Amino acid sequence: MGIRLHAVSHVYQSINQPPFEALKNVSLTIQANDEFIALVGETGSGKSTLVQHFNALMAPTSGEAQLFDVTLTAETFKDKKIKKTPIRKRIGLVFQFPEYQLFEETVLKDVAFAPKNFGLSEEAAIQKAKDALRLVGLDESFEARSPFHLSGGEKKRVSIAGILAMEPDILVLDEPTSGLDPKSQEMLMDVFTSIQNRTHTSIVFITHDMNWVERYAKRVLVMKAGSLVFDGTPHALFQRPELADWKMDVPDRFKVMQYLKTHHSFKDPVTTPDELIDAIIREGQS
Amino acid sequence: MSYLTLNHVHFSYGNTPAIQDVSFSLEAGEWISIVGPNGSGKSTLAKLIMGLLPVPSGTIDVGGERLSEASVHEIREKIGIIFQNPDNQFVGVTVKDDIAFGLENLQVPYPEMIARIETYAQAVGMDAYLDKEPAQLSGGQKQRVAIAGTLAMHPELIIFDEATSMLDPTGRQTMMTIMNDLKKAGKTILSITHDLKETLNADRVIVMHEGRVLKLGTPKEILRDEALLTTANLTLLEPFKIMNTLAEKNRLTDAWEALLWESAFTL
Repeated sequence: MGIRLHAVSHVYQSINQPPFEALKNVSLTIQANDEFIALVGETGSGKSTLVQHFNALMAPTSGEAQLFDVTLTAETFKDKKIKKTPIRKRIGLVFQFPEYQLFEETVLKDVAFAPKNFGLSEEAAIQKAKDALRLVGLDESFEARSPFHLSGGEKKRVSIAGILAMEPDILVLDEPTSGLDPKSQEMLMDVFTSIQNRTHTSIVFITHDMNWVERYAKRVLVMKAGSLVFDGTPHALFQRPELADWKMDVPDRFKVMQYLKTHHSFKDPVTTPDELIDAIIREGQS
Repeated sequence: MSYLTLNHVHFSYGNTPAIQDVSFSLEAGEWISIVGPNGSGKSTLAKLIMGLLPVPSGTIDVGGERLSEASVHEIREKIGIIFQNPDNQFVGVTVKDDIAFGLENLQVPYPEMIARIETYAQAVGMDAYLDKEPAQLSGGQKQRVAIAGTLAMHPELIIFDEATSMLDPTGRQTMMTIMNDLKKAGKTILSITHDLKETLNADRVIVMHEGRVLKLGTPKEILRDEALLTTANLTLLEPFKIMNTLAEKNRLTDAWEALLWESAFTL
């Protein structure tokens, strides 16, 4: 098992503001292999606070976060004998707009930076960087290029390779596709699938786009005002009557089908666009 | 009457051409939406119009005036721009300060400033938040404040540069409503987006690719053109996929075309 949160709450304290409970009694488990999880919820629902508990960037105010063999609580988090670095190597977190953090002269050096920092020799780090670049679909021709002269999608891939070079068991991504055009978004989502197929890395991604949730995720976590209100399959989520209350969107095809069904009476039940097209063709023939 | 006219505009970053021979006119009161892949030159175009980058070749006219070093400051006062990242454009300590910021630069008298702040905070539904700090606001709320600040300066042209791309569905929906209201109020709008849903209410759509205008047409002309959209790294919206499949099978009646078009507005 990779991540197990038990009754985790997190309260932000600041000088001029009343305390704010960003996470309320959240319990969940994420396996170290083959998970493909979408984390969704409106702005301010606690998604980013939650993922920072996944790799020991934040400690629970109460409750405990078990991250592989380390258990973090408000007390143990302060214990300097408990090292956080090995956790961050196993659970890689990619922030939103990671491309802003690219800084080396070449793509290869940038990707090799993290493994080198985590104690690998120059040579070993370079090898890991090359492997990681192949995983995100960037061939050798990219290695000597400046990361600053790449397209938005390529920059994202380089920064994700930087985390992958540490060979994490779990890869957590905060809105990885934001700012990309639709085709580049799709290519990046396909990169995650291919990474998982080859390495069995568990993937957790934050998104607002329900089309990607439906198409890629095996499991969805829904946050609402700091609480985890849903943990299940995308299929089960889209049946739930509370969707509007959770400020959840539905995939485009659901909206279109819904509209067409309320404005046209079909003889047979239709749920997918393919069934719809068949039904329209049958009606035209009768 | 044409409000904004670009005539054979070129621009390069060093040796890399970013804008190549772009010409189009935006009528007063019209809404044009510009779509295209990352790196197609959309945002560069906005910067050229704002006079944030020099125009090395070709001409840009805004409100009947030729954009030049001499006219740039005057022209900038006619244009309001809303950027992608709500956090990068919030400059005030509170919502009220943030809306006031541009007005102070324009040296608007104090009573007039207070009146405008109230009017435009109300127009974007943020009048109950005037004393809030940015940390207490969602991304969508910050974008609404940015719009209020822009509108308060009475711009003739409003540019939205991927202004909804970092917002959650609720924030996006609110922004779309505000843009539609601005259009109804007769504002001239140029919106830059990756999201084809946001082009549905535009009068015309420009598809950019590698710095060039690939096509300029109505949403109806652009949104069904799969080959064109694929070139621009865009994907057909669901209703138009269905429409095209029916058309291929010779089964697209006028009634279905109309109903599918309407269904796109639920997205």
